[in-house]
Amino acid sequence: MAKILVIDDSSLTRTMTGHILKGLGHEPIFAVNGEEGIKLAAEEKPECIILDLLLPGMSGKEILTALQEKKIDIPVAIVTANTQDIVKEECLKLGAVCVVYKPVKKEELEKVINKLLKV
Amino acid sequence: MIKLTDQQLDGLTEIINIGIGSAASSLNEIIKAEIELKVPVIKIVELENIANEDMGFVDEDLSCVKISFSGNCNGVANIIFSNESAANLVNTISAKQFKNVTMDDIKAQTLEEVGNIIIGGVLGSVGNMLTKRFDVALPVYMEGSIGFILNGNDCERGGTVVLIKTTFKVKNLSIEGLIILVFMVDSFKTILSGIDNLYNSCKDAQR
Repeated sequence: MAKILVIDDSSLTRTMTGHILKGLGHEPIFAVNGEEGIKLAAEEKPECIILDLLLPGMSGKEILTALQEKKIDIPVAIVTANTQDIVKEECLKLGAVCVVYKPVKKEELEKVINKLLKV
Repeated sequence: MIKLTDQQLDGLTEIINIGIGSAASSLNEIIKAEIELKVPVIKIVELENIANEDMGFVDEDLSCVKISFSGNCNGVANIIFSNESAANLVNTISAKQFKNVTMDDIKAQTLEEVGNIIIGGVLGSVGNMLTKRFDVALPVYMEGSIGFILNGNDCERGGTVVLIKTTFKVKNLSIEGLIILVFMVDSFKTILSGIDNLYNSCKDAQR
């Protein structure tokens, strides 16, 4: 079982993602914005992070940068509705391990988590 | 008047976000430029007052593609561009796909197709997530002021509607579009029940 931080402003996505993660035997913890997410990442030290891209305040890309600047070395998967290739490339350049698209399905999220936990 | 719970409002915003993201990806395939997305704004308004809503355009001639939809939910989708944005978008697409054809000949057709792609992406995504069916009518191109365009949303005379608006911007190409979805309230209840069902299927809801 892994502690997994989900940073997403949408209660629907937090609910659905949390439901899947619990079903997979993991322990999800939640943040609704970047500031809270970075704080939880530092304090709770989750094994990996599921990060939304379009957030109020700090964007997902800014959060990726902030995590690196603060030397919080936790593998991150971006989960976004924005399926443009250029956005994916930018996220990977900023240090994300992978990018998956909403709405995320159980099988897909399971693969992503397994990939993150191997990093 | 219909009232959305915080949970329904949040769920609807996210589902529309996902739909817009999917639609933007399709548009991105055509114009090969990154599209920036904004978080949608959702309001309940009287149809007769819709033209008074602040849409960010004042006294401008605008280009609009209007697509009616029916099925599990009835309404009208509008994609609105300033004339400058419309011209830039048509030029960008025509430069790639319609060589040696004058812009006037293809403007309406091109924008109608863009409308089809975006609205099809949004409604398709919403329908898939909520397992609801939308039957989409042929797109109609029109030009005029924002009031003229929005007063044409008379899918039913009068009544309350759910207004969803969001903007997208094409990086480096001076193209900005406004997407307005107008759902008739009576049939909108089926959308809300779909959102409630999504939450209920994940019983251990988080905050």
